[in-house]
Amino acid sequence: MPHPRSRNVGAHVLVFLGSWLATWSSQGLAWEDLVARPIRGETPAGAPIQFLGTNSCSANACHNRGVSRGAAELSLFEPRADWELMYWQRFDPHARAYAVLETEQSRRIEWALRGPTNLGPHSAEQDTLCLSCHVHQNYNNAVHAPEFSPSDGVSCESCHGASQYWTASHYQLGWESLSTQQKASIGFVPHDSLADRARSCMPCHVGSAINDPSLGLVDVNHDLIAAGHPRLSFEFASYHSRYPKHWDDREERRGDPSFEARAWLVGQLAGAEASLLILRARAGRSVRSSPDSMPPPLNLSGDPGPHTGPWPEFAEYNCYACHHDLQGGVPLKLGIDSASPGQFTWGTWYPPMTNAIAREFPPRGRDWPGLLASIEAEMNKPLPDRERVMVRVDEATRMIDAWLDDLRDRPLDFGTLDRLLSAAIDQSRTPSAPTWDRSAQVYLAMAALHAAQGDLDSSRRNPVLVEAMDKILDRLAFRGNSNSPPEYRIEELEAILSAIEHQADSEE
Amino acid sequence: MFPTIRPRHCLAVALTVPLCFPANAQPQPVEARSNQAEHMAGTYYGASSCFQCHKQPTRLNYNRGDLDWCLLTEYSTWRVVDKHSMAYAVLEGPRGDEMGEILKMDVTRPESGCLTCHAQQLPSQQLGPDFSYKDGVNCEVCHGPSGGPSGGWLGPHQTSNWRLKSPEQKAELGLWNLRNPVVQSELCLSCHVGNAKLGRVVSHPMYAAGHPPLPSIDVARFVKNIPQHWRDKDNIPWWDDAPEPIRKANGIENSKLYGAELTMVGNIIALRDSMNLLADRADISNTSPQGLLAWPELTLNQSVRQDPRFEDPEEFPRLALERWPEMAMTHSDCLACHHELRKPGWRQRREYRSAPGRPMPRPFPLALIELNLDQFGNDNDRAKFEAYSSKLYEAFGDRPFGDPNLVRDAARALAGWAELFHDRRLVGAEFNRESGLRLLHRLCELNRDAILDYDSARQVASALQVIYREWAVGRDGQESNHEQIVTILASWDMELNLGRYPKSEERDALSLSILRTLAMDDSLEEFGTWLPMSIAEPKSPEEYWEASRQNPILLAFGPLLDPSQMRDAYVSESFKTPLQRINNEGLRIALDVASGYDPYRFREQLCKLYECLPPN
Repeated sequence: MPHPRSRNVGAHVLVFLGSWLATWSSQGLAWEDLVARPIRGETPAGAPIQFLGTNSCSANACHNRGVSRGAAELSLFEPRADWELMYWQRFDPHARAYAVLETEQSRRIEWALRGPTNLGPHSAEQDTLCLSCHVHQNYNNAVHAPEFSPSDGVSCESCHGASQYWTASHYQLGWESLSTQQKASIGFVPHDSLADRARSCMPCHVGSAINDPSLGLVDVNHDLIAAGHPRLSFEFASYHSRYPKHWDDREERRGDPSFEARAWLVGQLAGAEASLLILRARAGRSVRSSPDSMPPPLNLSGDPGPHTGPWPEFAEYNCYACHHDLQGGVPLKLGIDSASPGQFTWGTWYPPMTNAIAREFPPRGRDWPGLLASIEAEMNKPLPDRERVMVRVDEATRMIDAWLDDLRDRPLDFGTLDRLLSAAIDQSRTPSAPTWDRSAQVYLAMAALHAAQGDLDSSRRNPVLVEAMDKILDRLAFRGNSNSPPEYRIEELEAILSAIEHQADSEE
Repeated sequence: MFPTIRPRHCLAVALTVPLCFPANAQPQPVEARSNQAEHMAGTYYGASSCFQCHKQPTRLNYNRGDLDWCLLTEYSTWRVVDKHSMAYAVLEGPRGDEMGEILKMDVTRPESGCLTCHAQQLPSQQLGPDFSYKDGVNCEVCHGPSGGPSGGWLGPHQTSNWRLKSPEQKAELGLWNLRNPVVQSELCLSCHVGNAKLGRVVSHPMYAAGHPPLPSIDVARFVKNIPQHWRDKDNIPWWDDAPEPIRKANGIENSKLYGAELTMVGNIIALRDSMNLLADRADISNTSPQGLLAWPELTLNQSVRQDPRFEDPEEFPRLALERWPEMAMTHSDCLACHHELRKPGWRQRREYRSAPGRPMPRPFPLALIELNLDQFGNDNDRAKFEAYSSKLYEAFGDRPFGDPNLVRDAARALAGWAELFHDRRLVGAEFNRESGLRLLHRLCELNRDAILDYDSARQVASALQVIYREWAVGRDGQESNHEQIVTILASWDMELNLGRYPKSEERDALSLSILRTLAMDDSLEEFGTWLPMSIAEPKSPEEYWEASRQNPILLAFGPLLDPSQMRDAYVSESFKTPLQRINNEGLRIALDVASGYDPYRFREQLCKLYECLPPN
C-alpha cells in the first residue's frame, strides 16, 4: 500500500526541527496527545522514520556491555545500566514475540482466520496484522533498514521508537537537556511518566485505533480470538510489576512509596482509554460486503482496508456471557450479569475500576459513571448505534486524558488507598451478579493497592486481606485445560469480600 | 389435502401484505410455506371428550374388532406418562413463574404466546365447552379439531365404516393424517423447531430467562420416545387384509421401512421448516400487529413494549431491525457459543466456512442432507443446494448475524429447495431392506472423517438407530455383529441423550402417585401394567386385550377418575412443584451430556459401527 505522505520530509526532519518546534502551537494539533501517542515509525507530522533494528543498539560499547562478562552476572533485581540488550534477550518475553508466530498454534490461527483465500499463500509471519504487535506497531507502513530483522520480535525500537533520527544523537551531550516533546518529534517515544509508559503498552496489549484509514488498525477482535488467539486482558500494574526490567527502577520506587498504587490508577485509566479508542474504531468501521467473507490479510492486494470489520464486535463483551456450558435453572449461574435476559454485557474488564477511581477522584465537573453508563446502555442493545457510541466515546476519552493529568502528582496516602480498596471491592457487586472479569479486576486492585500500603507503612500490612486474596485467586483460577471460570467458584467470592468489609467496618 | 381456509387467517394475510415489500425485496423462488395454519379451522372439544372411549378398551370394543385398528388406551397413556399432557402444568409451575418474573409477563396468558406450544392457542369461538388449556398438548393439538369442517370427525370416526375413508376424506373433516411422514414431521416440528405463522417461536430472551433449549430433533427418533399410544403402520391387523386401494391410500406397503422413510423425510422437512421459520422471522419489514407472536423479542420485552414507537405499527420494522441480532441468535447454533472455553478446543480444529467466531444457523437440519443428496439426488440438486446454502452461510459470515434481508432470501430459497427435493426425490423413493442397508453404510462413510458438532452427531446417530433397529426386525440377530451394533447404538442413548428424557421414570412415578391419591387407593398395584409401553409394544388384538383388560382399577374407580378431576390434579401444587424438580434434574443431565460431548469419541464409535455393519 503506497504511503500517502511525502517521504522526503523525513530526510530533512532534523533541519526543520527547530523552526517547526517554534511554530508547534500554531499547528492546531493537540500536542500532548501526539507526544503521548506517537505513531511508531513516524514523526508527529507523519514523516516516516526508519527502523534500524537491534543491531544498532547492541554494540558492545552501548547497550550490550555485559556481553563480555557473561550471563552469570545478570541479576533481575539489580539491573545494570548499559546491559539492556542482554536483559531483554534473556528475560524479556517480548524478545520471543516473533518466534511464537512460527509455531504450529500460530499457523492454525492464521489458517482459521484467513482460510483458503484466493490472495495467495500466507503465514502469520507475513501477516501484518500479526506483525503489528509481534514486531512493532504500524508495521505495514514502516520503513526498515536492511539490517532490520522482524525475527527480533518486540525489540528496542518497538517501544522506544524508530531510531533513524536519534540513534546518533541520544548519547551525545545535550540530549539530556532536550524536552520530552523535542525527543518525541524525532521519533523517540517518551517513557518518563507512568502515563507515557502505560500508553506505550496499550497499542498492542489492548489494541491500537489510529483514525487514519491508511494506517493499520491493530485489533485482537472476536474473529482473531475465535481463530485461536488468546483474549487480551491487560492490567498495567501487574504486568509492569512482573515485567523483567532492563532498567533500574529502585530509585523511582524510593521516590514514590505509593508507586504500585499509582501504577494501578494510571494503568486502569490508560487501559480504559485505549479500550474506548478501539471501541470507537470498531464502531467506525464499515461492514464488509465482499462476496468472500474471509478477512484477507491486510497487506495483500484486495485488502478492504482496516476500516471494515464486524459490528457488533463480540470482543467488546463479557466472554463468559455466552461462553459457558449451558446449565439448567434460573437464573443462570456463573456471573453472567446481563441487564436483560440473553443480552451480552459490555465492558466488564476496564470500566468497573474507572468507576471505583471516580468515587475517590471524581474527574472535575463531569459525571464519569453517568457517561460510562450511557455507553454501556447503548452497547448492551442487540444492535448498538455506531454514531451514538462514537460520540459518547469521544467525550469519554477526552475526559480520561484530563483525568490522567489531574492524577499525575496527586498524593496517595494510606487512607486514600483504603478508600480506593473499598471502592474497588464494591465494584464486584455492581450490579448484583459478579462476573469473572470484575472479580479478577478487584483482585488485581487489591494486590496493587495493598502492596503500596505495605510500602507506605509495613507495620500496617493487613493479614486478613492477604488471606482473602489467596482465596480469591484460588476461586478465579482456571482449572486444567479450561479457559473458563470454574463453575460456582465466583459466587463464593461474595462471602470472602464481605469478610474484608466487615473487618473494615469493625475497625472503624 | 387441506382445502379449507380460515377466513380470519386470510384477513391477517391481506393486512400484512402491503407492509411486506421493501424496496429491495427479491422475488422469492418457491413459495414453500407451511400452510398448517389453514388446517386449524374448526372446533376443539378438548381431551375430555376423548376420555370416554380412549381410556381403556371394553369387551364390546374387543368384540367389535376395534382393537384390530387402535388401542383405546390412548387417553390413559397420554395423561399418565406422556409429557405432552403436562405441557401447560410447567407454565403454572415454578419455572413458569420465574420466567414470567424475568420477562415481566404472565406466561399462562395468551398474549405471552406460550400457549401456542404449551396448549392450543385459538380464539374462544373455536373452543368447545370442555376444552381447557390445562390439558396441555392434548389429542386435538396433533390430531386436528374434532369439530372440524363439514361437521367434524368426532361422530363419524366412531362408526364402523370410518376405516374405509381415505386420509384425504378424513382430513376434510379435520382429522390430520399423521401417518403421512410430511404431515407428521411438520406437526411435530411446528413446536419442536417453531413456526412463525402459528406464533410458535421460542426466543433467545426466553431461553435466557430459563426456557430449556430446544434439542435438535429427528422426528423418527423422537416419536420412539413418546409413550406410544398408537399401533405402528405395520402393526394394524385390519390393514393386513384391507382392500388394496385403502392400503395404498394409507401408504401401506409390504416390508417397507417406514422409520427410514420418516427419518429421511423428517430431516428434509426439518430443513424446510427451520428455514421458513428463519425466513419469516428475518422478514422484519413484515412485522405488524397481527403477526407479532412471531417476534416475541418485541412482545416479551418490557423496554420495547414501553417504547413510544411500539404504539405505532409503522415503527415496528425499525424496532425489529434494532433487535435483529437477538432474533438471529435464536436460530443460531447454541453450542457454538455456549461452551466453556478449552484449549485446545475441537471447534477450532474444524474448518470455518467464513470468518471465525460468527454465529451460524443451527446445523442439525443439514446433517442428513448430504445423505439425502447422495442417495436420492442428482448433480443439479446438489448444485442448487450448495448455491443456496452458501448464500445463507455467506449472509451469516459476512457480518455477525447477517443482513436480515439477505438471510430471509437465502433461507427462503433453501426452504424452497427442501420442499422441491422432497416432492421430486423422496415421494416414491424406495425404503426397503436393501436401501436401508445402503443408507446405513453411506451414513457412516459420509461422516467417519468429520468432526461433528453435538447436534449433527445426534442426527446421524438417530438415523442409524432408527434405520438399523427397523432393518434388523425379524432377523433374530442373525448378523454376526448384531450384538456389537446394538451395543454401540444403545450407548448413544446416553452419550447423545437420544433415549427417553432423563428422569422420565421419576416423572412416571410422580404421576402414579397423583393417581393413587385421586383414586384413594394407596397401592394401585397393577395400574399401568396395561399401558402399551408396559406391554413393550402393541401386540395382536387378542394378546393386547388379555393384557389390557386385566386391570380393574380404572373400571372400578371410573367415576372417581373423572377427566376434569384428573386434569386439575395434574396442575395441582403437589404435582407442579415436584414435576419442576424432576424436569430440572433431567435438564441438568441433558445439558451435562451436551457439554461433555466428545466428537472424536463419536467418530471412533461411528467407525467401529461401520466395520460391524453387514456387507452392503
